[in-house]
Amino acid sequence: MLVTALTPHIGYDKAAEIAAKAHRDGATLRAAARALGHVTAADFDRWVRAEAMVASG
Amino acid sequence: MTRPRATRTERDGFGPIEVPADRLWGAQTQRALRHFAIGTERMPEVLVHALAIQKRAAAKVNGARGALPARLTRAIVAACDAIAAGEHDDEFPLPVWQTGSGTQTNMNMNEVVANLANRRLGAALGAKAPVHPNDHVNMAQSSNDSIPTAMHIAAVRAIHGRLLPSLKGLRRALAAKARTFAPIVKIGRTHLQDATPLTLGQEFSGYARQVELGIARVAATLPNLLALAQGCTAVGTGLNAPKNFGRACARNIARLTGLRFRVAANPFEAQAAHDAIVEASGALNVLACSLTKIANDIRLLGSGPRCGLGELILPANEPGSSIMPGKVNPTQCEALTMVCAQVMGNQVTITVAGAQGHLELNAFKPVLIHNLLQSIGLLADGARSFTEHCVTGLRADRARIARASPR
Repeated sequence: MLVTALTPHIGYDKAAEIAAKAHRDGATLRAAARALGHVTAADFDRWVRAEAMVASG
Repeated sequence: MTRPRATRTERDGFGPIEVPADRLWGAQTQRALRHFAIGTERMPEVLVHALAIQKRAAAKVNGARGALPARLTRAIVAACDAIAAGEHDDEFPLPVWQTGSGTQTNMNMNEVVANLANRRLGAALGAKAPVHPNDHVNMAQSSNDSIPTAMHIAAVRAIHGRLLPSLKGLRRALAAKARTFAPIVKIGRTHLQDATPLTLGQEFSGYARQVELGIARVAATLPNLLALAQGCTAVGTGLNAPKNFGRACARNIARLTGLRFRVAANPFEAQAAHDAIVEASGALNVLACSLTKIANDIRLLGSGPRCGLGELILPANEPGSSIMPGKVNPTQCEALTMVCAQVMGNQVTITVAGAQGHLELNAFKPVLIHNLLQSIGLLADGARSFTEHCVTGLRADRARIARASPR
């Protein structure tokens, strides 16, 4: 559920669309995000990084 | 013929769904009603009110850090206040038997708050704008930290506001009887056989002390229940929540409730386990044992009126039999011991559910809080009823006691 990292930037509904499309197409989240036009490749790489998601708040 | 009920169309990630037009919940709640038509036990209102308090605190903190516009913050806070005051209990129809994280109930809350806030801001129900259930009401939160936070708020409020006052009343009533009965010498019994003398007051002083210790045991579980999981978000790392979000929310909740809530020391423990709930249930279980013993002694000493021990005269509150005229039964002792049986059963359920945490999340949250709140509520009401309708009116049959005294 790495797509969770996108929600503060694009909102829950668009992030959910990306997750659903990636699952349906057997594609990566990155490809689905780009195809839907919700996130640029550069932003995706900046926002969705597992190592950046583990910092305890 | 009844006319079909008017509906409106709501949407979520799974597409459109029809929701009754006059209802404030949205698509996810409506789906949950279809998929979890199980049993008659709804998520407790006490938990719903606590969840509204949690959402209010999150909105205030998000507003203060500038992430949530002031206009939306005000509308969300007003909605939460109305829900916490019990004005919208009918908008929370979901059963206990749903997802183990309570996500459907968290979304039920997010949807109702968003619709109330949007209505206040002049938008239509189901518009999801300007207030969005996930992006605004649930901002910087997950069900996995919001629901455990609400569970602890609900448990502490119920223990503080209902159970402890009720137990203190029972302790006082038993202590008063201990004083009144102090001069009455009677035969003591062990193994239900004659033993050596003691006073009826001494017997009752033991009961009063049992309840006093029970109060202390329950109160001793509060420190761990006052620790909140807020800020953990999905798996404990706090993803999508700013640093110190949980701490700020806990401070806000403490100010609002007047109870000393604080953020849990370790976020991973706080949502992967519910040991504090099991601990609280354990203290209630001891209390149930104590109250069963006390109620049993009182009905045993009050047995008769002609052919039993008959040392105590219990208040005659109602006719006891539909066939035997004049019969009066120890009904308050029966109600209280049934309550205790239920509490002991709930303790078993809570033990099983508490042992079931898998990896990052204990997914037995609704059944845990349903049982804990039921135990707290039943013991609070049971002890109060027993105090008012039995203990306070107890009298000693001195002549009978004297006849049965050792000669």
